[in-house]
Amino acid sequence: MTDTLESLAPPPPPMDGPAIEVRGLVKRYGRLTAVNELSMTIPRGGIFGLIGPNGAGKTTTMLSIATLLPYDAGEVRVLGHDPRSDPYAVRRTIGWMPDFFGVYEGLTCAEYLDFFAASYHLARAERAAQVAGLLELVNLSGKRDVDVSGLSRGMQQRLSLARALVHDPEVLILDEPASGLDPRARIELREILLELGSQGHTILVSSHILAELEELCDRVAIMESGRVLAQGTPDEIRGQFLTAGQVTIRVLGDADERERVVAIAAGTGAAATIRADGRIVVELTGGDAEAAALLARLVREGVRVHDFREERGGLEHLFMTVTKGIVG
Amino acid sequence: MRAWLSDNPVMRRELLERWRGRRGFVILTAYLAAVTLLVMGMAWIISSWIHNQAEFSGDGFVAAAGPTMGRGIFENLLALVLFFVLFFTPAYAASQVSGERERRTLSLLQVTLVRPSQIVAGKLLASVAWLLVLIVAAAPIAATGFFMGGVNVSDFVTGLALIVIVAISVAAVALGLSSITRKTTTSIVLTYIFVLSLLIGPLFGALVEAAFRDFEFDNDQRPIALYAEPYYGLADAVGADRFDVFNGDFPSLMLPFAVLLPEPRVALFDEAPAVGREIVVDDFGGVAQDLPGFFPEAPEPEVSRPPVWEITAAIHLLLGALGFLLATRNIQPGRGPRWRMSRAERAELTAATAVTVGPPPLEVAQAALPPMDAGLVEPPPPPPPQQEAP
Repeated sequence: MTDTLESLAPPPPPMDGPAIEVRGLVKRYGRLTAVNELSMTIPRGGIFGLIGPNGAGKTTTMLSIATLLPYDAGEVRVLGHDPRSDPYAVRRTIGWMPDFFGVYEGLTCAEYLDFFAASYHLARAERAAQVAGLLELVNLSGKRDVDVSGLSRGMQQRLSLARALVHDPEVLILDEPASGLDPRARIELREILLELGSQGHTILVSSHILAELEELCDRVAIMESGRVLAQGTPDEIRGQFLTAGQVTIRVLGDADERERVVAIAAGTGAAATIRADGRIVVELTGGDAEAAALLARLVREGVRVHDFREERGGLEHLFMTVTKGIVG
Repeated sequence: MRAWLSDNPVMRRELLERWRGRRGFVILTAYLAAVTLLVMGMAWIISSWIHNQAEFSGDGFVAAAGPTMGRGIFENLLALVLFFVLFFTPAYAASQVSGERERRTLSLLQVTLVRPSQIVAGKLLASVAWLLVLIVAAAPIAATGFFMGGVNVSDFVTGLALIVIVAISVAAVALGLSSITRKTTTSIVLTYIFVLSLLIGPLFGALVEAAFRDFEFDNDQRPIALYAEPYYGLADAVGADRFDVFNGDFPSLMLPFAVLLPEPRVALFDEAPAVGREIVVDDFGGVAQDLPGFFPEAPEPEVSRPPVWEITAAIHLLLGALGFLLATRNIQPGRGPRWRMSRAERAELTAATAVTVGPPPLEVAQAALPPMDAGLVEPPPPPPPQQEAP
């Protein structure tokens, strides 16, 4: 397995600078503006998530980067190459996995990969080893001689990923790779992506399911209506958009004890409410320091706190906040 | 060139897909069975024709039975092979690009390093390889004319060569039509319309042209439109005789086209040195004869055959080249049938604007929705066209 993965490691980057740079990208379909002045910078290495609802322009953006869609305005650079003026240089460096699986009936998994390897000009002698290594990587070695049209959805997605990797690209562009997968297949896919990310591949991955990206991405861009609303590490975006936080507290004792917590919180200037299930929710505005002070105060007052949890919310919460903050 | 031919992954995959399993075997068997039955039927018809003629002409005619049979089978069979080629090509070649679009594999191919011309060449060669199999499979049967008589090798070779050229041309045009259509059914219909107009169009064109010229043609001159007709070219390529019927030969399917062939141009007194030769003018034109015994150094008579099948081949190669260019152009990313959203896709998009973020608070989801809708479904009015063009 390790041999396989090492053989897939991309060649050393030819130059410095971001893996993908998009500036002012515009794409219209007739009257519909799918991507509107989109700009983003995807640094080299790591996994970059593109989050947004269906129709936000994720696929259009990815197609533009992957040389598959002529865009109306803007500049795109993939490792310094321009998809418009030098599409073949871009194609050599990227592996693209669409949000669908293109089936050639009557081909086995190995033949399917061999065909695409040949389409990337891999020599015949190299191809056999490459195909075997990729099937191993995506756990399809056992399906080597099975007709591709007979694969399950999860297997198709993994084969599709293997196809995107067939020419050892440095950059991977994965459009909704986990859509339609069951939880198990999703976890398997995530493991493979993390593995690839740790090898130095730059991975651009899109999804409208935030939980999917949360465990995966180093950096994210939040998209809506063809624009990037926020980008950076999840922490950076949090810092940018989430000034207020929420703490959920559970204490031992009866209702009076809970009222006492509310009073203490009020004493520090925070608004607290008691939920029907007995949890106390405190709205904080002062960040981590305020939370720490509140906890210290409670303990000092003799409240038996057994759960003190900061409800920062994952990307999901962040996403709702960001999109609400801009468009709401 | 190597990347186009032997080392073309697209061609290899097409051939693999095509010939794997029993499909190729079944189609080829059915085709050969049909050809065999037709040839047997023809042999039966021709032999009864020969018997019938013998009753009028006496037993002497039977001596020519072999060549009559050989010619008849040869011409009719090649006419049928051309028909099969025209009939089969659309079914296969017309699905080549639109089929990739439908299976959503075209973009997977576009993102690789294979050039558009390589994709089209691979698909063309794979389509033509299949047609070549049909043509070559029928060749031994057509070659029966060699031992029955009546057919010479050059008729055989030029006839098959023209059929191959027409096959390549029709396949290339089918690829071109396939590249501009979204659905395979559309491209198949378009290709059949093309084939049909290739068969019938030149005849109408010739009539119109003749009408414009008040039906005045020199002996070696024919309406230009006629040369595009594959059967006209084939009649010339196989050396079909325009006077078959009158000679007692069996009239083949090519006769209607053969009678339209331009007459051979014979060098007459004023064009060729008349020294040592005599022109005997018979009912059907002129035949130059050497006077035996005199002037042995006299030149051969110059009976020049006006080119027909060569022109037909050139017209078809040109059509094929246009089809190839069309396909190469439209197989590039962002080309081909406009990537426009259909009404259904638009409706789907509208319905799908809800964000899948688990169960979000209802009021938040609703707050987020209208602006999204506004951006997606009712986009701001597009800028005036003159601003769009840089």
